[in-house]
Amino acid sequence: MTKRRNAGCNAVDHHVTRRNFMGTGAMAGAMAGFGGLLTPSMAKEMKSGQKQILQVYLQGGVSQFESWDCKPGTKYGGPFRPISTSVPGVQICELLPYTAQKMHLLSVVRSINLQTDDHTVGRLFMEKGRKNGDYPFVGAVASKYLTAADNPLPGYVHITTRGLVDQTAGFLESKHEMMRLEGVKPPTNLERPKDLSKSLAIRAEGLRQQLNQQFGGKRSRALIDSYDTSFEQAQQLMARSDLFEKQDEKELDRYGRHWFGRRCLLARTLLEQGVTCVKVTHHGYDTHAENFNFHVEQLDEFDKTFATLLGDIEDRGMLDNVLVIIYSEFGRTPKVNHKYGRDHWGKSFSIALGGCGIQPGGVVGATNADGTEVSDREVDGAHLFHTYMQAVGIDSQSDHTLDGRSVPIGDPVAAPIKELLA
Amino acid sequence: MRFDETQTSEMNDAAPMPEESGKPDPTKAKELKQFTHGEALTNCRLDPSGKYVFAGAEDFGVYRWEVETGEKVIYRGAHDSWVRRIDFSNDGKQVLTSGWDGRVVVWDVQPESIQTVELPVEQSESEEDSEPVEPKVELVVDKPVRVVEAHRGFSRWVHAGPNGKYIATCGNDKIIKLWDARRWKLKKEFVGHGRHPYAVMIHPDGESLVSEDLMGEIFVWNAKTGQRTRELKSVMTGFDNKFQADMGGARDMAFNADGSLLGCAGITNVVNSFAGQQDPIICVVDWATKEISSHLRTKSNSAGVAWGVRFHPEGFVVGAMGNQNGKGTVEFWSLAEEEASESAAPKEEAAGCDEDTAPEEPVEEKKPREIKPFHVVEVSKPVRGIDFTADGRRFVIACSDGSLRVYEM
Repeated sequence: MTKRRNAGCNAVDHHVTRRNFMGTGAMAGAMAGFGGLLTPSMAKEMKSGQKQILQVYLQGGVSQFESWDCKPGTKYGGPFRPISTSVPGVQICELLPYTAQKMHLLSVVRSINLQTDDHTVGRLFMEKGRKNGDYPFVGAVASKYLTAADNPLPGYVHITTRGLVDQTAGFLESKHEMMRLEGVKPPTNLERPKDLSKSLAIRAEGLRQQLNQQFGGKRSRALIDSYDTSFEQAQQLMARSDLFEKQDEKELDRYGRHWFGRRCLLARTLLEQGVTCVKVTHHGYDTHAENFNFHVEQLDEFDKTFATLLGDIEDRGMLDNVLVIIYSEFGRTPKVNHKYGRDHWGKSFSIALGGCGIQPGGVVGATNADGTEVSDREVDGAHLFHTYMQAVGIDSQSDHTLDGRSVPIGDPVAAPIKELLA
Repeated sequence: MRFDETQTSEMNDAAPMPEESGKPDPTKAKELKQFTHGEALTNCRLDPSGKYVFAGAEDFGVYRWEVETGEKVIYRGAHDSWVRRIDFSNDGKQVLTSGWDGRVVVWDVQPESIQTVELPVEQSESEEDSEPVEPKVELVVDKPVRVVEAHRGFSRWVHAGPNGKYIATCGNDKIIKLWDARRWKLKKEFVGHGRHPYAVMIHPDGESLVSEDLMGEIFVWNAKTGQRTRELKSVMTGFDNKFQADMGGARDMAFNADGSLLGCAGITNVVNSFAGQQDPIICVVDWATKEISSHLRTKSNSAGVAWGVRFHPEGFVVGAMGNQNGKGTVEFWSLAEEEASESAAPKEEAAGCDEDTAPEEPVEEKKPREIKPFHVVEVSKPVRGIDFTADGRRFVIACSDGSLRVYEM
């Protein structure tokens, strides 16, 4: 495996390829200052250049049999049947009829083997591209290298309900840490306290900046700048509480009025506003019992909403710049247990992805007839991480530069899945 | 030519069925024989004559065993998914199967033609000089009487009405359908369930239908007008806070002989349904008042699902449980029993399900009685279906290990 290191250089120059240069360099100038968030024209310009990521995380481990890799009529195939999609010859589970009509925008990887059946290990591997170590998540890396320097919005937002506590930025600056939104509610403490007057708040902020300057006089600015950014992001969010206010009724009709529909609608808004990586979690796939009834319910909720979101991203001309990933920490066992459940299974499962930098309409890899093991083109979290990075124009085979040290962005022993890259 | 000998095991070698004497006594229930299948079973029904038991399995087949001989016949070729529910036409000549493929299939209970299909023989090299192995055979029925594309999505239920005129079905299109039983012409659709209906039954008087959905909503419908005449909110559902999903619904439903009582089997007190952590329950509805009169609880309070309910001719209620711990039970309740102790009452969290419908005035609310079983038959594997012979002396259960077990009491 060839390693490409760029030690001694300005890391960003190497990490960000020409394709997304406009998203960082030129746009940085256009968005300098904090007079407000993105104007429509700026948003449009951003859309034309900034690479973004939408992660749809099916928490708990969606069953590959009931989604992307049907095995009808086989020993472990379960009760559901495959359906045709908008890509001739590619079939997915009948529980995804709306997504099936968008498959010309997506590709499927059916040959993932993480060699773990553990939720945490699987989740971290799928996010960090490494099985071990304090590495940053996909969203944090995207935040660092794809977010325009003056973009006041957080680079990495996760819309979820449950609080899974992960150090998502790893060794990167804290400003790339995931900002977690609990559903479509605004972040806590977004509003100025009622007993704090506006003038007092301004004076307090002035004092904070003054203290920062004094403290940072002879010290490295990196940490202080990072905190400054966090404050500034918070201030900008306080000015944009409208992002979290009542959602458009007609849009909710399209997306669904359930929590996942509302989250996906907010995700679209955040992408439109220029957040670099938006992660939306759909809970409820850890189906040790009632796997089939739960997949009927959960995928029924997921399918139409996700297809609507994907269609909107496409309709707005954003799909060339937004990498869309639908994934879990693992799949589910071929064997159906006595509770009609499927248990954890990281040995042979699937994801789907599309949009920015991804060749659509493809199927990579395969499992054997019963779905018990990968039979072709085995990949793991490291290969996927490289692929995501390359798709959005980050050279995953180069390095992070940290106080003079170089750390490979992607695991050097793995490589991107080249046949997936556009 | 021989049948697969592993498929039948007699509990009493060559012993005839016990002589019938006195009333059926659950405390003397004894397993008589066991038939086995290679895949987990999903349900079972005895045909009205009691001669045959039919079962669905986690494959695409329907299986008929002759109770006395163990002869197994495979009905296949019409479903391309699992069969969930089995019922019989009013004259007992046809068996109806509904499945996850959205179909209802009509088969003859005793088809004129049953094919004998030889299975390939696996003979090892070391056995070359030994006696030739007699091939195993399968008895196969591959021609159904009728295939009905009944629902878009899973056909969860089929029930043949009491007078032979109508069939009721429900499915994942959220529609209850009433069909002309002779020609399978759609007579009426009943729309109103907000979530997937899990079961539907035609009342013995033929005048009304009752259905229950994922949210434990029990609807009574006028069969002629299609109007919904009663809505009951049962405790048979729950929202799993951790995983943010609903689970519930009737896994079985049955009327007693005169239609005065309805039993609905399922779950309640959802803690973590994704791991199977919830309580089994059978709700009994008093048909005269259309109120839930009793909650039948299991003896052990083990987490699991009530997969079957039947009213025995002697008046007691029988339930079949599949427990989270990998075991099962068949439990017997007397509706004349005193209310169960405090400990059997529903947990506070689940009891809240009914609060929305509680009247504002502090009128005396008649809560369902909490009843514990008077007898339990332990089963080594989770039970997924139960049925009785017409005289109530025998019952069969379908289990998750593929075994079909015959009991006498």
